[in-house]
Amino acid sequence: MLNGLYVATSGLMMQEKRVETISNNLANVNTAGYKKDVPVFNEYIPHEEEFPQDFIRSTDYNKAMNSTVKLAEESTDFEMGYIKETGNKLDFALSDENAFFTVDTPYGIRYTRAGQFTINENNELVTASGHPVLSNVEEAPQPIVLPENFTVAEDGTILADGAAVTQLGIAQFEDTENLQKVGHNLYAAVNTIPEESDNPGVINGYLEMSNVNAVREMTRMIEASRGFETYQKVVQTIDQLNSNVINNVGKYA
Amino acid sequence: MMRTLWTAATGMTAQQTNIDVISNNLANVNNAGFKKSRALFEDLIYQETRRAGAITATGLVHPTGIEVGLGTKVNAVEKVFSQGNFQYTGNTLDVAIEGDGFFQIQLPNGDIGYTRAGAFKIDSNGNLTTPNGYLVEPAIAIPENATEVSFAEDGTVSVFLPGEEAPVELGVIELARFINPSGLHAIGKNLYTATGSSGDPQVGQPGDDGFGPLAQNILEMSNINLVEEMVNMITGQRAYEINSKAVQTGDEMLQIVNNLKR
Repeated sequence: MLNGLYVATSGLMMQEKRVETISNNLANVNTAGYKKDVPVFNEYIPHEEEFPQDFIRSTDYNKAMNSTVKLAEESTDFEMGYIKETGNKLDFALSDENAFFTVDTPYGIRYTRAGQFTINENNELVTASGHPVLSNVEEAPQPIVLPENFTVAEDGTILADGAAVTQLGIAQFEDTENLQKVGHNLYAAVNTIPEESDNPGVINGYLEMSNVNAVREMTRMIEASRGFETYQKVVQTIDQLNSNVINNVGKYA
Repeated sequence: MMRTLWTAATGMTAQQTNIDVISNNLANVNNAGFKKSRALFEDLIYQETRRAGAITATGLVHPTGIEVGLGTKVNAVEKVFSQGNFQYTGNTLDVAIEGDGFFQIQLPNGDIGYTRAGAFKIDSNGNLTTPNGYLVEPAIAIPENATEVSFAEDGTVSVFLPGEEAPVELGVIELARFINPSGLHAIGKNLYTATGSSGDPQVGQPGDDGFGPLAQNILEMSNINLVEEMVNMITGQRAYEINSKAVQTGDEMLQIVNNLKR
């Protein structure tokens, strides 16, 4: 009797998670280098290995009647964002969507697509939060000290008067699935080793904006909140049925 | 559910700051020597409900985690020290710096302030000052009977005195440079002060290595590009609006939850 109630409740919770993810995407609609999250849901069917004592749960009837939905993963969509010209000498964008700047943080090396850099008091290139951007010098990445009147080549080489001085450390991931967002526009690499990017396509004076499409997110938001409403109706209907059973069945006329 | 409300609220707050910064830029569009600011954003921390690489009950490894982001914040509002447009004014005491460097100004509290606005005035004692009456450092005193004040490219200030054939040198205007101008602290009145992140000033003569030469009769205007600011204002306003829709959605969903129990 109550099965439907749980199914509908799992639906309510699913739509709630969707709205939360969409809110975060919308909050970051103007955050440079932000990549949108997409929640992925799947059916949750308890099976024998998971509940050995509870073999009834794995019956066909159960699969048909009692499959709730659950959030399987939050996958990040690394599609390119809009590349905007800022004319600022310390803004960098990457035209290859698998390439990332390497940043030194107190917690280890992190990766970012947000190239809105600035200079600290030691003349080192740092992110807006003050973490040094690293060079790709073999074995020992160092903070980058920019020369006067520098120019930047497509591969991230920094030149002064035509001579290469240093090179931006740009990592590339075959599989961006293992990049975990840690806030501050940074990603941590989980169980994956980056390679050196062979063709990052660095452009100086440009910024990659957020890849959140406001129209699409808004549409999803409407869809999710209406879906939420639908599940509410389902819950109410089942509640009504239960109420009838409890209060009216076996009533003396 | 409440996460949606708060997440969307962070978006609104950040865009509010963005619009504030843009308004200030637009308010100063005709302000000589003004440098525009821009707001930079970053995403906030993520709440993990499952870590990537976690082991399932059946011994499988989850390839991805479940993390819900909690919104955005402004992580810096930085000054952009690009060159502004030069405007010929014909005013003898208007001086622009063609390149890197700041004029040094004595603040009333004894500190040194820095400015790009070279619209100088002469006070009752003949001293070269800013429009607010703050003295230029090093001090330049112009004699009462002087005619034709001239500022050379290398910062030398000279005048003609009655009965003199050759110009008389009064002193040299020195400029200061900073490694990280974006780290300067703006104190209003077109003035900046040095901070730990701007680094210490390097003082030198105009036209020397790294310092821009001076140009008389010219004012550097603000470096604001109106089209860019207007477009930023539109995107900022729309982003604000869309986040308010997310707040409304969160609110409606809470209402739905409240209606579950009739």
